[in-house]
Amino acid sequence: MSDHTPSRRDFLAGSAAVIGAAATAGPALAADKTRTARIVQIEHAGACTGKTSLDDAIVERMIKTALMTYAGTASAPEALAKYFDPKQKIAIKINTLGSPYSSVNPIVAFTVANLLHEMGAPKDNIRIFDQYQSRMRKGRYRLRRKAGDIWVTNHLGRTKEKHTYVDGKRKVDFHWDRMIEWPDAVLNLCIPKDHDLTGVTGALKNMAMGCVKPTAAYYNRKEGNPGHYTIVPRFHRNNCDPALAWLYSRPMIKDKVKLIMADALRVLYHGGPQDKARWRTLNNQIWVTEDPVACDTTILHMVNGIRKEKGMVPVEEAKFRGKPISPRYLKTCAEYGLGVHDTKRITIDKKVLT
Amino acid sequence: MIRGLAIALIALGAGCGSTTANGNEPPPPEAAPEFKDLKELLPPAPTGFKSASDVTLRNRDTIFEQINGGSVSYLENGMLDALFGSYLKASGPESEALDLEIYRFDGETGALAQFKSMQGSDGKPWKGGSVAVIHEYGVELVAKRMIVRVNFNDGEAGPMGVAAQVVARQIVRRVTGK
Repeated sequence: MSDHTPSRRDFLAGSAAVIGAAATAGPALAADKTRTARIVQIEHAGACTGKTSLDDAIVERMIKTALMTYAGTASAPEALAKYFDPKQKIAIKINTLGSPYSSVNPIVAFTVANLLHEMGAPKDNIRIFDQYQSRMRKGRYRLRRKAGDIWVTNHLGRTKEKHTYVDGKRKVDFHWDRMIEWPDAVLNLCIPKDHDLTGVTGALKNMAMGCVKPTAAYYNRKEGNPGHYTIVPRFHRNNCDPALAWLYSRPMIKDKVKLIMADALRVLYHGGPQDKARWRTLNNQIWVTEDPVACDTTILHMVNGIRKEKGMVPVEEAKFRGKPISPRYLKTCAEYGLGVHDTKRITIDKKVLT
Repeated sequence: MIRGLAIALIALGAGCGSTTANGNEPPPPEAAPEFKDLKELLPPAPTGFKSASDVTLRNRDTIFEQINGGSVSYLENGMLDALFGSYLKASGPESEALDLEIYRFDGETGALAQFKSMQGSDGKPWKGGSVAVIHEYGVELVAKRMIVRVNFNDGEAGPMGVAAQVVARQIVRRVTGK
């Protein structure tokens, strides 16, 4: 894995947090060497019944077991109550960009949403969301925004306040999307994938690059500005480093995300982020953790393990367009105080159900 | 942006019916599209499948929504527009569909560069002068300035693979004339 120590550029990018976004603290830029992380992995060989099909009952049981094991409770709603208040507005951020099958499965998102409701949250206070309607539909979600029901929605436009990310001489103005502003608490429901820019993607990119919107000026400048409706590519420079760490460390994300789950029933181990059946494999797992860096670090090791089995080089040694695909963002995120990157301090509690 | 401007100027020139100083028509520019609309490339459904549905056209502006971060390299290599669609089985689950993707670039060089960045040196000469990778989930190829991908997610690999190649072959024939 490539080494990365905080550079002046990182520091400047971090400093912009204070300048550009009101009431935000600068990054720690020093990983806490004593911090530990825990990930619960629940596996059931019968979860995937085929390349594209699932046993819904088994998946529901896996989700409940994962939550109970992680929180040490007797029921899944009790487990969720340790991280969410029934009076809160709660959003579940899914990732459907790799639809149809390298995308969070609807059964996983709806099981979690229903458990939040069982916990005591009214349906009106629970929403499942992602960026694009078209990708959500391809991922087998039916959009609905109906009173008295759990909403399934895309971004609902931009928030009023403009923020600025500064990386050296580069400045990116952006807004948060209204769906990340709406909730008091967020459940980050991610999908493990190979990614041609960041090596892998999971919990960190789902939130950091999944909740930003362009300014009106950028949106309206259509000439010579492909993809004017999304600001995400402006954060792609240098394998999204340190943009990804900077974005996730904003209070809008860091303070709202209370729990992370990974739909690891299938894994895209090469050719991501776009879904490709050829490089997708069945994995039959559901994960729970509170640590996004530990989650993505574990995804990296899992993806590399699968690649090794397939006779492929690890993502750190792979090149795309002649350039190395570096997951250096993971170390930077640890330096920003977002979690644990050192695998020696990550405990994996794996339970196999039959 | 410069590439876009160049294409626009070339197109503008072509649109005005410009001629060279000696009165001869200039050669068609590399950027001139063989097909005005990529939908013209859509083959009829192979046996056992319905006509293409969910057909979506994307351009340099809207490709991000379709393939997200993956679009960066396509744009760098000069992708102009793309078509996405599905051939659903006449009867059977939706997952057993042929998913078609056609990407048009501003030249063969860009298309080939993009294809190689994804497939490495796995491509082999295929029908109609194309270079293709045939795998257990379909066929992916480059023909002139088009990248064509006909894949499936589920279903019986043998007949699905044959159907995918039938669709791909028809597109190659339309693109190359061979």
